[in-house]
Amino acid sequence: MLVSPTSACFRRAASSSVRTTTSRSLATAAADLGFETSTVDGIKIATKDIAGPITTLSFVIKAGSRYATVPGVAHALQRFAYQNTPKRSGLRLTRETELLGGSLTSVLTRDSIVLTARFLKDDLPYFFEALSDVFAQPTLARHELAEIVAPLLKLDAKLADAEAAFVASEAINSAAYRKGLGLPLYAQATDSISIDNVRSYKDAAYTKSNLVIVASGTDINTLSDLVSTYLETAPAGTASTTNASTFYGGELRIPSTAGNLLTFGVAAEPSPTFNVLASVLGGASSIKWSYGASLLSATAGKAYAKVTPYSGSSLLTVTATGSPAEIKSAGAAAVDALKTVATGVSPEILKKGIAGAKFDALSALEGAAGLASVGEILLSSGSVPAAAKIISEIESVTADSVKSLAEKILSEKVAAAAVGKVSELPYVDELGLKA
Amino acid sequence: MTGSYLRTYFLAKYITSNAPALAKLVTPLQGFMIETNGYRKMGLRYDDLIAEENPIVQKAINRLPLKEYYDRNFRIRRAHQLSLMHQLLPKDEYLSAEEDVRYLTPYILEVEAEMKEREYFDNMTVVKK
Repeated sequence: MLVSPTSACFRRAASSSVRTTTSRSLATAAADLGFETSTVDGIKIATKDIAGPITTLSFVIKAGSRYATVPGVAHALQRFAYQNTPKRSGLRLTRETELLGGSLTSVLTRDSIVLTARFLKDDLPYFFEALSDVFAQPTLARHELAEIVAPLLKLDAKLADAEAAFVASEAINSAAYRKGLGLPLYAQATDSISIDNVRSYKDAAYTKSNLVIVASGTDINTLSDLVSTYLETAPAGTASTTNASTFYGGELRIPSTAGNLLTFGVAAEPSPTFNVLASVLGGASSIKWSYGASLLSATAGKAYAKVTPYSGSSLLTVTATGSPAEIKSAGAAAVDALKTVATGVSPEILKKGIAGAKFDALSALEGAAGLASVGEILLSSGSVPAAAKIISEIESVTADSVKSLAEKILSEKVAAAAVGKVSELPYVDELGLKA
Repeated sequence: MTGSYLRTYFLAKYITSNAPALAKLVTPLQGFMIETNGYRKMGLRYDDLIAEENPIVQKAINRLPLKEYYDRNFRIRRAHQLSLMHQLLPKDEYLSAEEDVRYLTPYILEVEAEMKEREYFDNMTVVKK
């Protein structure tokens, strides 16, 4: 039904709808991500009791590659997930999961190992027991390492090497942080990992003080009961620590047949200014058939800015892809965009950047992948992220701070990585940056 | 495939733990068997005699710790050499009963159990309760 814009009825409807939207958006902002939290037996748990037939359960363990005592050991431990335990073999777990209907995944990040199970709501006790078994007492047999895990480590590394974006992210992390967050995510061909390495890493890392449990689709009381039933006897241990991340910078050039890519950026303690500058630069399309109206949209999707958050540090990168010629022009355009920001940010652009940054930061905490991010934040900060706090922090970013961050990137040393046909790819100092 | 050896193994286990009278009767026989078989005189362990030409034992051998694996190969090569020269080891180098460890049997049992489990899951029928 079409209503004339002048009709009183429409105006009333419109104004009331505007009012509701405003008040509702404020309500959502004030309310949080909807997690209930608790601490049971020294384990922090958080759950979002959303309606629906599926429950997602994640064990987030502070055991990512930055904590690796021996190169590659974190990757081996991640790949040992869902193998034999004294209670059940890996095969039995897989087949029983198939019979009940569900999926088990394990993910390795620089900060953590995340064990996730998705299943029908009624099967929560089974999967909780299975995950706690996998967490608390994996057999870690020597023959499993040789027969199952080692080939998977090789496969992961090979698949990752075939992806230029991954190779570049490894390189830029290495240039930016060297140790800790700069360690390779996956086990390298040069690493030799023994089962004793994996066992001692597991003993140090798989403890209650390194574990948080996040779930969606179940309530806090059910989850608390399960934790006290199945994880009471797990070792308490001490929380893993690393040195504070220092930013070094420098340029790495990696020959690869996986594709061409140039990425540069800076790292520092997590700051909302990073998110806003990334959003102002933009580049990634948020709508079909259009490159948007951000500063990097002029490169027609060949360059984009991105913030990768870690605990204790964030990495802001600008990445250019395409053929070497396209990368040359997209890289130059990205530096031009930074120069534009360094001359000053108009209120409209800042407003748009803040809105985009808010959406990016909050949507990263939604869904199954978001659950793991919430777990990582809970693990490092001790509390579930507050939407209102994220919003107010991003809203408090000023044009001056964005401008000075852009100036800093242009004047100080950056970390950079070029992947692909390195002979044809530009050096970042040719683009006007320091590396 | 490995059946016969493992059957004897389980039979012996059963007799020693469940039939003391029978155990008393057959234990001296065991000594006589080993003596006449003579494998210890060639420096071999009982588990070295298990036929290895089948997937289960192959997998079990692959799971041996490196040192065990090397020692096993050494014993077998030495026995081959002795056989070739129609000789036995010097008397003081005969394998003692304590040295005759069942080092491979646990691995064979483990691999067999795994294969059995896989077979069970591959042929299971789901019954709705």
